[in-house]
Amino acid sequence: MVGAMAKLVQHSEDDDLVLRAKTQAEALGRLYEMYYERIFRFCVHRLFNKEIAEDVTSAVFLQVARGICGFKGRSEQDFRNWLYAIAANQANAYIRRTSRRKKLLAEAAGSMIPAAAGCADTSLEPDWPRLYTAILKLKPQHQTIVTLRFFENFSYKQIEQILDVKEATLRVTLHRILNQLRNQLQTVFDGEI
Amino acid sequence: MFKDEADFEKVVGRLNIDTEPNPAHREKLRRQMLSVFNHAGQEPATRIIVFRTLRSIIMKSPITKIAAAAAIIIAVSLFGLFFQNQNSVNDFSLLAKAFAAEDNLFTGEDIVHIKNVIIVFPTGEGSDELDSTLDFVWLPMCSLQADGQFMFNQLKLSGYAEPYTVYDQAWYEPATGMFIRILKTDENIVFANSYDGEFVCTSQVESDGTLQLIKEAITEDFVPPLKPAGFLGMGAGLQSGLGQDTPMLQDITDGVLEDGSSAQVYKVGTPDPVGELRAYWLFRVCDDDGIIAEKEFIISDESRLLVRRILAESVQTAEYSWNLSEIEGLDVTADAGPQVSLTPDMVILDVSVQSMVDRASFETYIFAINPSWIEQIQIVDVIDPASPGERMYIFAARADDGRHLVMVQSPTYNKALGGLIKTGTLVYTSPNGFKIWGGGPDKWFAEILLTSAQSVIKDPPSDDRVGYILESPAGTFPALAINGSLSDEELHELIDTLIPAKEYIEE
Repeated sequence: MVGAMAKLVQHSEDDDLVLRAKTQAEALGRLYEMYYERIFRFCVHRLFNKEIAEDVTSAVFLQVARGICGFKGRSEQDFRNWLYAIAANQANAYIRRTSRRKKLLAEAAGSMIPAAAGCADTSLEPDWPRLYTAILKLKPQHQTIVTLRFFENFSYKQIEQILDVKEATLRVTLHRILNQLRNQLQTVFDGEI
Repeated sequence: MFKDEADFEKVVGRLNIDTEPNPAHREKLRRQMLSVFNHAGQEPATRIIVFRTLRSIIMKSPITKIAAAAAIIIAVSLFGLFFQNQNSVNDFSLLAKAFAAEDNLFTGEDIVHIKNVIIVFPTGEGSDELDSTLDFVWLPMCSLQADGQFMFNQLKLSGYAEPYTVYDQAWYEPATGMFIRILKTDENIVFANSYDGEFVCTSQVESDGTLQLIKEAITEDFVPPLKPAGFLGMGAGLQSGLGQDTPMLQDITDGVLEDGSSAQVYKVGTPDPVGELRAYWLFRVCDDDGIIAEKEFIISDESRLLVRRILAESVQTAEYSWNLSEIEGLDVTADAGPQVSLTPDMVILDVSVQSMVDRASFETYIFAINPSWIEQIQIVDVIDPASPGERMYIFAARADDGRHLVMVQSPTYNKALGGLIKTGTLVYTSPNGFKIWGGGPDKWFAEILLTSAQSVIKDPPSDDRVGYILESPAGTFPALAINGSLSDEELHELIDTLIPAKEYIEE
């Protein structure tokens, strides 16, 4: 009971923080501290390269700073959904350009460790560069879904709120995405990057 | 490999990914973000900011053609605000301090001499479709007239195989307001304007390509410009200021100037409908003196135009006579090579319907009855850079309830919007023969239209703004934006009153 009360109070405080952040720099600073690492991690997962992830993280929080006055959400959950939606859009905008995508692919390919001969485990389970290479071949929206679901461990409900896609649709889409990924990974393992 | 979702989750869980953030970046971004936030809070109204190199975003696909066409009119807002705010720079605007700092240059007892270089870069090998279609870049260039008013010119800088430089020099005497401004390439003078206390001299391009100096006595009500930085400085044409909350401000970063001094770099542009920023301006404000040291235009990650202040000094005498009629070297026809020219009347504010009909090469339409929910419509006549030699007409009107109206008619729109309507849906056919198309990227182009008319409508684009493409009986495609929602009845009533401007005059 005490735990439940504490959770309730905590929830309310975070909501207040969001409301105050619309006008108070101190509150926005606290939200930044709460979310910086999460957004940076999301960007690393989406963009592979930490320097690029820093740039995109910057773009995300600067957009937040410019837009929070007009932000219509009232709760911490609203803010989180808004923040991740911005991050997803910024990351997609970065990748959308062909030359940048090529650069990311090349970098991931350069980081791949050659599979040890005769070692079944390493050849069948992808390392991060191989998996990233496969993910990058998905549609940008699908890449975001994979990142949110498996790397950020968001529930379907949370992803629904962030991406404004119905949960049922998400489940079907994710099933297809995993099939695609499996095929892509096979291609990557076959050396056709 | 993995079998199902749960299995894939485990695979991801076993990955070793370095997501450790850099504390320095974290701290720097925190400061930057709070700085942006603090400024944004001071400037609630979005203001238009920047002149655009309009021709720069012409591409082959309909969506980018409309992007180009829409962006064309953004320039108007700039000039509109220049007029209105000439002597009242917004103190809270992002670049206001830079403008104010530059104003301070033009004070004191001595003559002020400033020198800028304008460097035009060729299209690079890696340039994409966007860049390769760019015939020229341009800058707004104001010239003072004998009545004390400004004429807005377009300084056109053609593309060329090698980079080339135009030298922009000005002398200004604070005590009298006398000034000289001269733009030169390595070979020729391309623009000259001066005020010597009695006469205003302005260069004019003759039909044979030579420049002639037109000397006119000042009128009785002539008053020298109160803020010379507004037309001689690096901030010329940007007096409206750059609001932090404007969507056009993309980023503020730390940078370094050519001399090694530190600067704040403002990145300004409008993303295309898919969110990509292909063409933008960078303004570098020197940390030491707070003045705009450089402005640079980038297309597809390549610099196309760089304007750099290389000298600002106090001198006892100007290099030329205040009376520019004594200047030599004006009557030279431009050689082959980079073509630098000045086109007058880039923007004419508040023109009459008669003037529009006289100058437009296409059928123009007006609202026979001013809709009750808006104030009087203003018509602005602008050069249409995407259709050389043609004019563009922008109708803008404020509404008390915030549903401001902007309508644009131009040859570029007539060419580009026909294809775009296929991405929308037909929402109404008026008895007067107009078809209204909605949907598609309407919010995107409505934002651009509304932003471009900030000087009239004052408010930023709202979330519920709407855009329509009108297909006229004459086959033209005016673009309409409303800063709020209209009922079907209001929309129909509005469109039903459209008549050819010629008929309106005859009546």
